[in-house]
Amino acid sequence: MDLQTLFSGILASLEPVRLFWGFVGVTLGTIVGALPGLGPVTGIALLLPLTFGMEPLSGLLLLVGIYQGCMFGGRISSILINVPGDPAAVVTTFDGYPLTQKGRAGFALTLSALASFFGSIVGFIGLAFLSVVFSKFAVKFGPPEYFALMLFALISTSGILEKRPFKAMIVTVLGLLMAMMGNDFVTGEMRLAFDSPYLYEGIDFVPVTIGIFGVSEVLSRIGKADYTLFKEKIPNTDLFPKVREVWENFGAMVRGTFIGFIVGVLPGAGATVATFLAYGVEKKISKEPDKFGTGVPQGLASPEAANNASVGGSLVPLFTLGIPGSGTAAILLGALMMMGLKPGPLLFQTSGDIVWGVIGGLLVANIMLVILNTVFVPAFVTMIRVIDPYLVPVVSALCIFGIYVLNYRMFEVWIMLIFGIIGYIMRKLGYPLAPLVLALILGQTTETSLRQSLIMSEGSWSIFFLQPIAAVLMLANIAMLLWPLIGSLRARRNKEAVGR
Amino acid sequence: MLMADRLFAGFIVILGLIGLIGSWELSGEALRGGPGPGMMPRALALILIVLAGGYLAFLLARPPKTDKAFTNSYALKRQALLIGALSASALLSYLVGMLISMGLFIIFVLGVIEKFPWKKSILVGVATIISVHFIFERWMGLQLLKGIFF
Repeated sequence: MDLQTLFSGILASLEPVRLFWGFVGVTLGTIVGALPGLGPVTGIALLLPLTFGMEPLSGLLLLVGIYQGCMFGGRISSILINVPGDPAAVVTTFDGYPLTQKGRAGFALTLSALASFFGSIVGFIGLAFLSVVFSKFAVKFGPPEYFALMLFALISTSGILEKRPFKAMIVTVLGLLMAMMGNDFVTGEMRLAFDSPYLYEGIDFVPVTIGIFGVSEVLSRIGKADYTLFKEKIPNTDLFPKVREVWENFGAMVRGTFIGFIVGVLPGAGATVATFLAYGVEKKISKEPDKFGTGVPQGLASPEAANNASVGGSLVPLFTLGIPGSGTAAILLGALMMMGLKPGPLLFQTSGDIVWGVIGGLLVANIMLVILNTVFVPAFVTMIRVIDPYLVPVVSALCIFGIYVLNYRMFEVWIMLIFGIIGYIMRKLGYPLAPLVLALILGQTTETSLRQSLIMSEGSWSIFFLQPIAAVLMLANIAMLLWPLIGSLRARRNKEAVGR
Repeated sequence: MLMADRLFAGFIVILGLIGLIGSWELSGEALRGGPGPGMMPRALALILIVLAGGYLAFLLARPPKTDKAFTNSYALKRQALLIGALSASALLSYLVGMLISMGLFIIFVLGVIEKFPWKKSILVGVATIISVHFIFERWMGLQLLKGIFF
């Protein structure tokens, strides 16, 4: 790739008609992303018919704009009302919403927009310059590597390494068990479906996520006599972060971006895993890990950067190998094929002008998004202040509408309501919520890769230690599990030494 | 909190038992030495029973304490009303359609639970369902559950 092809791609995406469709994409994406339950998969799938008959580059710019816009938009409802717009925005609620409760909603929105922009831009650079290198790395990931990676994600982010891991462990195992429901991918046998056709495909994680975070938040709000967030007007000076504050979070953005891009490149891992991993790493390296969850800016900046960097990452295997890196990329693959393009190793040679146009369009879309998401922060805060007293019924209704249109079934709505109640009880009793969702999301991939690995090795577990990448990840997993044990042994020995 | 904690731990043990019974007849082994469809669910159900059962046993061994988690009757009443209204409007959706039932839900919550003036409650309810109709049905082309009216 030479810089000239990239510049010609950027110029192609700047033509007025294409720019217009890119703008439509990012605006619609931001709105769709902010609605509970509707993520980029739904957004692109819904608006795909709009691109039929459109010139290919304009159509693709619209779709890529929606994809990137959803990633930006998902954080708005997470930060302002503690209801994640999509599963990738769950982690944003951990420190984003506490910042809102502290009266720093504007700061949280702007900081997360800047982190998202940084992640996207680095993701764009990675996509433009490192596609070939990373696609070679991605194809080295077979079932043993995936199993080791999924285990890494579960151990490092589920909270089982915390001081009181018991409840986190219970919740993680419950989430994994729920992920086992439905059709078995190897034998086709039905598992834990109890003869209910609704459970043949298992339990979708979106209604569980919205129930456990959104509905339980609504229940906890209505339990208070006065739950309005904005009792006082937020001064305009506090709407935007200071340069010093952005700089203090720059390291977190870099780390989140790196994790997001790498995880995005791996087919099937997706933005949700990236955000959980980024948050886990940030908490682990922090000098004050106990403060995470109370409105720590690093806990917001890192996952947001990871979320957006994963977009560029997920497009790497899509463009270079024809393998989608996420559910959204899978729909984009369909769109590319419908437009007569053949994603794979020859795509850059056969349709280079269109692909570079899309890559250039990604840069343009991000510039539009960062402007939209920083300039309009006062508007978002004002809007939420106006509707704050009516949020309980309106958010509940929006959750129901959003979940119903997932599969056009009321079954998912009931699942959401049940998990809303369960989530509320869990909150009150001190059970962590995130591990349940994380385990439900990762459960099937974890089991699939475990079983595929053991079938490959004819039942031998040594397969996880014979492949270099898998071995490194497995050793990291073992070290993570043993570290707290070694720490407590050391502490005990030190205590005994002091006692003597 | 102790009683609620005990009940919830017991509930999780029951979920584990359901998982164990449900996966009992599934094969534990597949071809070529790999694990079968029953291995993971069975193992996870057992781990869940052991973990939640252990926690329940630990809670039962502790002296009884006043339950503090769910004692606020004001909060419980409002929450029960909200859950009841949500469930009723979800059921009503089959009959009158989703837009109308959700509009009624919003009006009920604002008027009855939040004690807002009725005019304001109706205005917010109607404005919300009109916005939802335009965003979901007109603009995105999504079909919400229809009833006898819409």
